Amino acid sequence: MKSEKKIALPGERIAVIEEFMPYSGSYPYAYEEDGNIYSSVVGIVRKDLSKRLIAVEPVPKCTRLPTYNDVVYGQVMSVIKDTVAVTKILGKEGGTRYEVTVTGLLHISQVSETVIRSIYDAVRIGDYIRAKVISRHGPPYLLTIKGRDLGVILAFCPFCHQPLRRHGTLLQCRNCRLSFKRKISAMYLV
Amino acid sequence: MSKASFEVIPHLKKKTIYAMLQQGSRIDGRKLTEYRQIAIEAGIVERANGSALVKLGNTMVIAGIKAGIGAPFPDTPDAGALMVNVEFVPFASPTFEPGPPDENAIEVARVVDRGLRSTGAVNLEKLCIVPGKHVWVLWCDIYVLNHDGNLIDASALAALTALLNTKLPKVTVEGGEVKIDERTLEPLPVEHYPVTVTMAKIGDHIVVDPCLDEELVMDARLSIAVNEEGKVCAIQKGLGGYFTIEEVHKAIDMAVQVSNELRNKIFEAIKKVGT
Amino acid sequence: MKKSPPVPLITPDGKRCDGRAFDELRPIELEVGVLKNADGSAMIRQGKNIIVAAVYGPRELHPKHLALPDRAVLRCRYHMAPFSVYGERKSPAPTRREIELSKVIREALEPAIFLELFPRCAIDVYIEVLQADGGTRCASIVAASLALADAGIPLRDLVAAVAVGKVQGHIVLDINHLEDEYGEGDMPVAMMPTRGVITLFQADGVWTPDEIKYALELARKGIMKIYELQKEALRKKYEKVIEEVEVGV
Repeated sequence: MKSEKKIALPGERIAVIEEFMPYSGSYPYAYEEDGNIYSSVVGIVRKDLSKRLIAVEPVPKCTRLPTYNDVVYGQVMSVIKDTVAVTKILGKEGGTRYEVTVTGLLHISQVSETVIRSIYDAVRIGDYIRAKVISRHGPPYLLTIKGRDLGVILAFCPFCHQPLRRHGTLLQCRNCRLSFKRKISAMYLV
Repeated sequence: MSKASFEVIPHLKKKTIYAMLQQGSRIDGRKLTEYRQIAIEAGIVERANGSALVKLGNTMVIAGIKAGIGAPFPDTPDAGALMVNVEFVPFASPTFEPGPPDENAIEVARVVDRGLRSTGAVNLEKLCIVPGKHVWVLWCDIYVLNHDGNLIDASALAALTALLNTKLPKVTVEGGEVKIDERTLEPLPVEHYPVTVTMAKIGDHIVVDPCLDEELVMDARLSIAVNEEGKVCAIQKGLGGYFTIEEVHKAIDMAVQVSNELRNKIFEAIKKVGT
Repeated sequence: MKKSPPVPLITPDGKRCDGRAFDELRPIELEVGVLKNADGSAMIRQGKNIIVAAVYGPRELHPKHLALPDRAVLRCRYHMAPFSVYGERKSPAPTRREIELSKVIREALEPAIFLELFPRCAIDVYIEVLQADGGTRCASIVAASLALADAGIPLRDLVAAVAVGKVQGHIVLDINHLEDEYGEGDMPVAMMPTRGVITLFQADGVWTPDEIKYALELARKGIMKIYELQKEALRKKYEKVIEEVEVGV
């Protein structure tokens, strides 16, 4: 798409419907009302002259909230019916931290390619996980930990509260000499 | 009725409300500029200096005036004070909760207060006893007893009626001391009669005196206080909708038109109890 | 009842107490992006008014039972600093006036925001009046709508606002502190300028319907001027940013 040197401002009319159609992915940055196309953000106007499409690319983007395919870090807060882990999303990979946390949901079907019986075999309350967002809208955001790099990155012993260490495919507490089952991320911290 | 159903059911009526407005009628059979049945009773609380009960359809509001002698505000040493407070009593609606007045109650109180204050409905200077020291302080407390929409108009009607109904004991100043003669009562110096007319914008239509069902689906609200000379003395737009300039002018004309009807109801009520 | 003003509000040669004509705005300075932590922010200086507005969000709404399933909740807090007022210190506790103004400012901004894009979220607008000089709610709206744009929140339009007043029988634009205190009437108006619709409308004082007509027209003209300044402020911040973006492409 060709860009214009001009910037669009919120509420500014950028075209009439006879000239251009708003590019579908651009809603609501460019939107149509009463035969006019308006911009709703400060952004760059882009036009596709052959397809007669117009779009606005926002410059200050409100992208603090997670979006599709974002990798996020979170802590499991509770488990519903052995199947869903309610997760507090603490931040996005790349630096965004959430002072006001965002809710994510991890369903048992999104843990691994194989069938597992209980979500407790993958994560436990208090675990820190690295997950990917698979919903486009939220909160709550749907998460997945399928994949080598995703899963638990830090967990603690339920008895002595020491960090668990990785031992093969299990996590181990050296104090209590106990092993725990988890879906461990390749990026497990200790 | 639970809180949720209280707010959700009217949305199901939305279609009906819109369709009926399209044909020029309303869900309760009124015309667009028609008020619900108004019943005003003055002086129903004897312990108060003045009081009034207003029923606007099923909306029920009571106002009581308590007067006391106090110090004036430092910036107006030679004038009495009038304070308006609105309380949404929890039993008035399943959506009202106990606690200090919320922003809605405060808004109603401030709109009523603005209407009374702008016109100088009560001549506060006449309420001064000793300048800078002793003045009459009037507390107008409005209690919402049943909420069926349009609390602003009902509260404004109740407040003005209660003020007209208020009698203050005669005071004399002897050697710097204020003496109150409880047996001789004098009416309050009420000089103007502002009434508030609230209109709801529903779709493209503007209707007077929205009932609760209409309030829950309305886009925006415009309250206009009009005094007896047909002048506007307070305006408040409410809710997250908007008005065009033409709609505002239309609303103001409507408010001026229907305000006389409200004022007459107050005068009738006052006449009944005798001043 | 009102005391007489310390200076004549209207001078014999038809000027106002600060030398302005009846339809003249005070000098306005707008700056976008003044706070680093906020998602969007703006500052306005209008006459002696100094007001900062900041936007946080959209973010998840806590407590969750307040969240709406189909749209974001807009929350707004208008607050005056204790040192912002003339005379005695203002208590920092929110007054009834501030609670009402928070509500009307929220309702003035609400129609402009695409709230339906962010279900179950909150958008928080914080407004601090650092120095008050009359017409603060209108100046707050001007700054808050810039802060919303700076946060990248999609808006149907900017919201611009101005207070019209009635001073010794004259209808004047953009009243200052003295005119507010000693004048006969005050009418704050906010509009979405390109749509020409009113989103905030209040008044006190006694007005004839014709005066209101004139006052609204005067307000509309003032709002259009303020709108131009708002656009200029946004351009000033983002023209540079956009050039960098374009080079990157």
